[in-house]
Amino acid sequence: MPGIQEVLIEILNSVGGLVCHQLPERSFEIGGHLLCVCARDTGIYIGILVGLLLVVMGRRERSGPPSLYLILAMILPLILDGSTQALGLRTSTNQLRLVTGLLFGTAISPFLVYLLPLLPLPRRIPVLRSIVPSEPNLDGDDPWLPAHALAVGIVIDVVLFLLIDSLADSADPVLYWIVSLPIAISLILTIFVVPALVLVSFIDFYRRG
Amino acid sequence: MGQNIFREGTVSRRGGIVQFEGLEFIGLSGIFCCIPLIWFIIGVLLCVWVYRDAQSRGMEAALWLLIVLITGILGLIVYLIVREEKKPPSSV
Repeated sequence: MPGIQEVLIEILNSVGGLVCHQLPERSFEIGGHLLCVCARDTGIYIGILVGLLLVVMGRRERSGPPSLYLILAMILPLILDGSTQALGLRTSTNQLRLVTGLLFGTAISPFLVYLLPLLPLPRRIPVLRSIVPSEPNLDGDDPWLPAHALAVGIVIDVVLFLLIDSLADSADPVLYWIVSLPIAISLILTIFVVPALVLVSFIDFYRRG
Repeated sequence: MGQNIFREGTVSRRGGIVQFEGLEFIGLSGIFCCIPLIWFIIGVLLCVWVYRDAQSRGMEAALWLLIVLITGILGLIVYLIVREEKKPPSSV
């Protein structure tokens, strides 16, 4: 029988395979195992968690979106890196994929959280109700999440980038789990919880007419 | 070596494809099929919102619909940056 560790790794890889090509040459190997998603997705999914942590710095009474220019500046590196590679103009590196992914995830998750109150359901869910802006206004000038919160996110991203990059090719299997745990949490949130929340929200919305 | 937990003919993570029997056994494969569909529906609803919002602001609604359809979240953020002030309802 395979050990519990092997089974957990295969489950992680199966879930990762739903959203990622999992090419070995584009993935980090830590503790003798390839991570369940590629370097870019490792960055994105860990970045999503960083962005969610920043949400605690949001001010519910404010209605405007987080700085759209800053969010754009944080997601553009990934789009440029990915698109120029896809067009065959250049080949990226795992380090570049990781850092651009971290910035992308950190920028995108607070923005999506900000948009959640536009759906009818999240305002009624206790945890979300205490996080999301009470009256979001996409035209508002008072950002719900201040720009300095995103700047803190960038600093955290740089630290995480240096940490994960230094762990690549290390032999200690514990390190694999330390990096995989946030990826797993983020994957579950992204591919199960959020779609389920949105689906229930729409069903509820249309059921009520 | 432990017992093979994979189906015949499938290759492991390092080969790029994994089909874990256990996930199918507990019926998760059906849910997995729904996830892209749900994200697709979210994308379509997003495009509809952009179309209506652009229309209400007197912007090129079809063009923005196309841009957001192709570029996704990037197009949405650019749209939110460049969109014009909402026109006040015209009085007759």
